[in-house]
Amino acid sequence: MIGPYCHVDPGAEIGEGTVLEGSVTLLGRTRTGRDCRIHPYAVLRDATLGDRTVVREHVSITGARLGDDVYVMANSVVGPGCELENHVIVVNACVLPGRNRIEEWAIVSAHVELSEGLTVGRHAFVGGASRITRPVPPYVLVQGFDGEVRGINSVGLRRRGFRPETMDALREACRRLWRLGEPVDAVERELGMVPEVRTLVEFLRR
Amino acid sequence: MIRIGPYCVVGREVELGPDTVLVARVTITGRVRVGARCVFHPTACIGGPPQDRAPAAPDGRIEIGDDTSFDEATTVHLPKTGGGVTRIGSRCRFRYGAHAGHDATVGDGVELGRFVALGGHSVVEDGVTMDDRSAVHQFATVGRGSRVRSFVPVTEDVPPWMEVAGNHYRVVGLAPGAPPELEEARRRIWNSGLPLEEALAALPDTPAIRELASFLRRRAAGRFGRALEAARK
Repeated sequence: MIGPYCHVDPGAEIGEGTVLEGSVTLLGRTRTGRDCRIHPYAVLRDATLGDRTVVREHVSITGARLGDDVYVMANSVVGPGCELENHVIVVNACVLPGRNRIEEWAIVSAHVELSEGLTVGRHAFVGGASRITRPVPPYVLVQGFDGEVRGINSVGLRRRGFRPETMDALREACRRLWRLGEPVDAVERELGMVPEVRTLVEFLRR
Repeated sequence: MIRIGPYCVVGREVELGPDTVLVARVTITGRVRVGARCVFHPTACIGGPPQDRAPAAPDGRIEIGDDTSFDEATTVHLPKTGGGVTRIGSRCRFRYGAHAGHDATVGDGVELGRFVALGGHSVVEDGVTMDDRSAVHQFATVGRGSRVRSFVPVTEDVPPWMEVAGNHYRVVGLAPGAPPELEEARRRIWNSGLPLEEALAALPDTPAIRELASFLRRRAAGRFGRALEAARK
């Protein structure tokens, strides 16, 4: 369904069940999956969207790939080479300047600005108005102008059904890594049997 | 006379008051009532569904008062709660990119700076000024006459007539136009290190101080520094 005053370039493809609400602009080789919803004044240029992805009002996406069930809220900007994996949420007026990889289930809150090329790990939560200049490890919560790790993303992990033992192990790993400043190897030796801690440790080694 | 410029989209359930102007390329959809003499600049977009996976409440609506203006790229969303209202008062100004989320309440004479984002169910009381890129957390309240400086994420209720600043906000002074007797109250509450009730005890009994005290007690009775959290399941 295409609402009034939309512009769709000849090279763009719209998946079945996708709705362009009105005043939407799809440019270049933009492709949307099924059942996406694109709201007024959004502009997508050479973007690829998975299924059921929502792009809200005034969002600009250029040369980026978005997975399934991604939600990009009003006034955000997603630059060239960005990759947003499945279930990612980007809240209002965020700036992802380019080559940013946001791994599955991560949430980037309102007014966050990332430096170019930074990755946000899976299930991480970036608190509102943060300036992020270092990669954000998976499963953690970061907040503030220094993008400091404040702990694990306990609300998000609980909602997605992570077991309490897993969350305890991640909490302990966080405490040792960022409160006590222990080396990555030591944390891996003692907690590395928990797969999520292993993912965290491998992220930090990259 | 109502004026609607080119490339505007106005839904069937939209009511516009006298002398309201849609300059051009404005979208107003859903059940929306707009008062008199409002101005909507190009790309203002009113009446989108809540930014939530759940659909909009079928009987929710947006009410906008008189003499309120919306600059470019502004958004106001329909409520998520059944029978709910996203309410914007009179004589407000939404600057470029300002956003009122689902079920938000904005009083009269409120100024929202560029890209100010009001989260779901948040309340901004009369006469508040929010500077560019500040934001209000879901269920937070910004008290009457207060001023929120640029970039401040308001995660806890802002007391009436106070000016707040910083990434984890602090009360830095009185907002312009505040009743002067609040200066003494501000110093005792935020600079003396006394517990709230002790700080309040020695203050004179004036309407402004009573208002401030009851606001702070409601905030303390809520959770996470937000009075409205108390009513949340």
